Amino acid sequence: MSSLMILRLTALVGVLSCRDPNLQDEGLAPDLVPVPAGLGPGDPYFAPQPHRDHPYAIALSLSGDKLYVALRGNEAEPGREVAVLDARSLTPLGRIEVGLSPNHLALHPNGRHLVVCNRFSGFLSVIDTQSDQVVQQIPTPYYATELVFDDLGTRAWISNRWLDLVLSYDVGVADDRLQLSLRTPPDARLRDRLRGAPGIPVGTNPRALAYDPASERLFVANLVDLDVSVIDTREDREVDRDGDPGTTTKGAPRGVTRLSIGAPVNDLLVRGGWLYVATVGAGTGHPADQGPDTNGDGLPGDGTANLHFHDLQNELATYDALTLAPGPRYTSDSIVGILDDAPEGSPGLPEPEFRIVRGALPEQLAEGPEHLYVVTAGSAEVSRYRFLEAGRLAFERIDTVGLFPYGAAVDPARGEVFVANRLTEDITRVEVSGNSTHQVVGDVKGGAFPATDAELGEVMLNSTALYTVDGDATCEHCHREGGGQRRVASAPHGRSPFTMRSTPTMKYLQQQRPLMFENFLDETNFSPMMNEFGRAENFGPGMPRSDYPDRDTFYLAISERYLGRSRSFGDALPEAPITFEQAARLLGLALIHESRALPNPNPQDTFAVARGKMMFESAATGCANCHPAPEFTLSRNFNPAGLPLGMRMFSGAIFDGQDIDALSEGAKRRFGAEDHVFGVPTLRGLWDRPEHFYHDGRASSLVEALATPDHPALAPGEEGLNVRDGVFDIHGGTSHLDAAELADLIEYLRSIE
Amino acid sequence: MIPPRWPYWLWLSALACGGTEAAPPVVVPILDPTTFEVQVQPMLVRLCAQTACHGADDRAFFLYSPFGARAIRSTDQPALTGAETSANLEACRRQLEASPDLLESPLLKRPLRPEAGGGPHGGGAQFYDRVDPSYVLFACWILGGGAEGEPECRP
Ligand code: HEC
Ligand code: HEC
Repeated sequence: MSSLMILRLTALVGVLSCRDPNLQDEGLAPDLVPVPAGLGPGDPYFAPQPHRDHPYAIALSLSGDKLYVALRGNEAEPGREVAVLDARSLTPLGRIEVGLSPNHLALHPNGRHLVVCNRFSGFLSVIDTQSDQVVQQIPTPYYATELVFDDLGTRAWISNRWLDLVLSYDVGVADDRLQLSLRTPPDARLRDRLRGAPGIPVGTNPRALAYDPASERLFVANLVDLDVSVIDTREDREVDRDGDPGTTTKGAPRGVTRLSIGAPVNDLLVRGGWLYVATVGAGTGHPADQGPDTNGDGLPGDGTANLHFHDLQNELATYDALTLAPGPRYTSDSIVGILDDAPEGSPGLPEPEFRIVRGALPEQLAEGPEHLYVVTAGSAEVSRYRFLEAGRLAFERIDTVGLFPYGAAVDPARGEVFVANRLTEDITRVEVSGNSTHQVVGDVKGGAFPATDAELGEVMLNSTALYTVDGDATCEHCHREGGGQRRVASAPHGRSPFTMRSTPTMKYLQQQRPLMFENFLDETNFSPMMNEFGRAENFGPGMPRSDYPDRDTFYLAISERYLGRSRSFGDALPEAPITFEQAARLLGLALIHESRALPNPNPQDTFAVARGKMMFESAATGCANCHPAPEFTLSRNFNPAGLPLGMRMFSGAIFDGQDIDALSEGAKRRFGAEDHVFGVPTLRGLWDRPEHFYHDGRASSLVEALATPDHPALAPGEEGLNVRDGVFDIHGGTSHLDAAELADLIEYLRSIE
Repeated sequence: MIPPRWPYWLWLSALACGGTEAAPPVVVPILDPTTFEVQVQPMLVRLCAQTACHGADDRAFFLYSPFGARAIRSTDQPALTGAETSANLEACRRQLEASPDLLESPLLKRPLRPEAGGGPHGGGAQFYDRVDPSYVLFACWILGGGAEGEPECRP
């Protein structure tokens, strides 16, 4: 148990002059305009929410005496400040105004310049850590996500989420100013060159970067593509992992095979020739329907291929940075009720020395002289592992921090780790001994977190692990940053154990009710989803959670422990004890309250967008009938033409002789859903999603999704999927469009916010 | 340096000290005939080959189109013939001949919006800017994907 000490600081917060008076905003691209929150006062579920700062990234000054915390805010209310604290006393020293929604902090190896990536601004802010003023604003495309310097500070790379690129810069320092000049990598796409943003094409939503000075390689985490792009920085060119020009990872440049991790890639760290990857587990690979009978059908298993969500794991994968050969892959303890009782050596059960990963959702990695620190966002913890030889790790300890932590910074001299907590608006410092200190850095003027029903729901959504049977899974395991991923997951409501559904985003849900591809789930009761995390039968005597007589007692106790209350507030939903059912309702409330939509930087006013819009709205394509603006979906509360909400689009997919689109009898009875009938997904936010479309992820690009077979827009190897049983144009008319027209239509789709 | 659409030029201004060009001049056009027939020609027919424009056979840059100028008489042949397609491709090639930097050739410059560095063009702006997907489709056919030929070139 870590001893907990809350500092109550009365010291006056010094006001720093935010910026160099000589700083010019002229000539900078305008900030993106945030998309408002999901619900407005007109909605029965609406309740006003307190303003929050949502501390995100964190960095220490070179000397270790100052701490910088990026206050990113959320999508609807982005922040534009970096908080500065005294790292010893944790006294807030002031705030520095930077760009909109500061996302990442990178200290130049000279120790003087701290570069801030601002995701909604078209520039980087450079903080001079001597004066704590912003001294430069360096233009870069919107959605600069992370920046990494090489060890000498002569080069830098930025992952860009909008363009799915890594931009490569030469770096100089002259007159105390950072000079960045963009390089043109050989594989830069023509369109990116013409855009003035030539970059190295990488996977979808690139986030973490790690540079290895020994191999001169840059590792890029493609968050939702489940793989890593490996860049040879001597040429700024992606390395082909298998050396076979005949094989290509989906979405990669021709001939390039990426380093597949098999699950979202949350963070990367390179040390001593080894690449460490924070991820969540690629599944056990055990056969379907194996294990005890948990659904009472008289057969082993629970009737699904992945044992519902119980095989979601938390993992630290390692790779040799040079050969890319896998090293040890460390995983969590168990699959509750299935493998943790299994004898050692059972199939799917790794050796004990590899079952050392603690906490849920390894989100960020940080290194000390001898240790790897892992922030597990879903369980509100930071754990410490000792680096051994050859990529091996030994678990040492785990400590509780605030809710939904993200960034971590290590003071190498003192062995302390600082963690920024997104929900509780504070930071936590954990000393070597485990003593921890919390300090509020964000906004608690509207009350300490949580202060509303929707905020309670945010806990269920982001810290789900606290409420699970074995504490190791969250919604964010699959829905990274509230989005989807390029992966199908086993669907408990399918008739066949092989039923798989693509992972959609959890955004824009306010106008998507009822939810799910099959349109069957009411947002006011998310119990079927929550149930996968904490099934009632796991509580009580003789069960994995025999420490609680039943599930509701467990829910009440956990709420009391982490939230300091066991009843909801009653500002949006009727006030009630936070039982399982109430938690599921609160979760649904949080999902619709925030739209979590990212502002779209793609221009809306070009010829192509105008032409595409005309086509979209034309009778010949018919797109706007089923996807009417401004929600681009049909839902219970948005259906201008009064169409049926569900429809049959494609032939049911068959796998192993089984119709994997059919629903189980139980799901049909309970939800009134129908086989092979799917709702209309929204087209909002398409620009930011992995190219993995339809309920089963059958389309790997928008062209594939929309084109009829043999359409001139298809590239070699692509398949036009706008067909059912030999009939073309079943999903809107596109066969009459030429290649450039289909490109215009797609340009319009990508302009939708 | 190519003047890209605002605010891209702002990012480019950050390059000034490095002097990196966004796209180096490419001299030899690629002009793959299949891509021309399948992807490029239908777009040219739609955007350029009206009878008052490049569908008039007295124009230096003249294009056959299914319902405009034809080299054949039969009207029951809506698709362009192989000979007409070849003639159209040759018409494009001639427009590229005199330009050492293909991005500055009449084909890729004149139909571009003046604000994006294009024109002059009697037919008005057809491409909004150099990242207009139709422009990229056209430029890809001419330049190949990148400096070295053919990496991913989809608009
Ligand atoms: C194992 C991966 C996984 C986990 C964990 C997971 N989901 Fe999902 N989610 C999916 C898949 C797959 C679907 C699509 C299922 C369908 O529509 O049939 C989905 C669909 C949804 C949808 C419907 C979106 C829409 O557009 O209709 C919402 C909302 C959602 N999930 C929220 C959650 C919440 C909240 C949690 C945590 C309690 C969660 N998910 C946990 C994989 C996951
Ligand atoms: C008859 C109603 C209908 C029409 C017309 C229609 N759509 Fe759809 N659209 C749907 C449905 C239903 C789905 C989901 C199908 C599935 O997942 O199996 C869908 C899915 C999509 C998707 C994939 C979204 C995702 O998240 O997977 C895109 C993109 C899309 N439609 C665009 C279009 C465009 C562009 C047009 C016009 C060419 C169009 N749609 C016409 C009903 C329609």
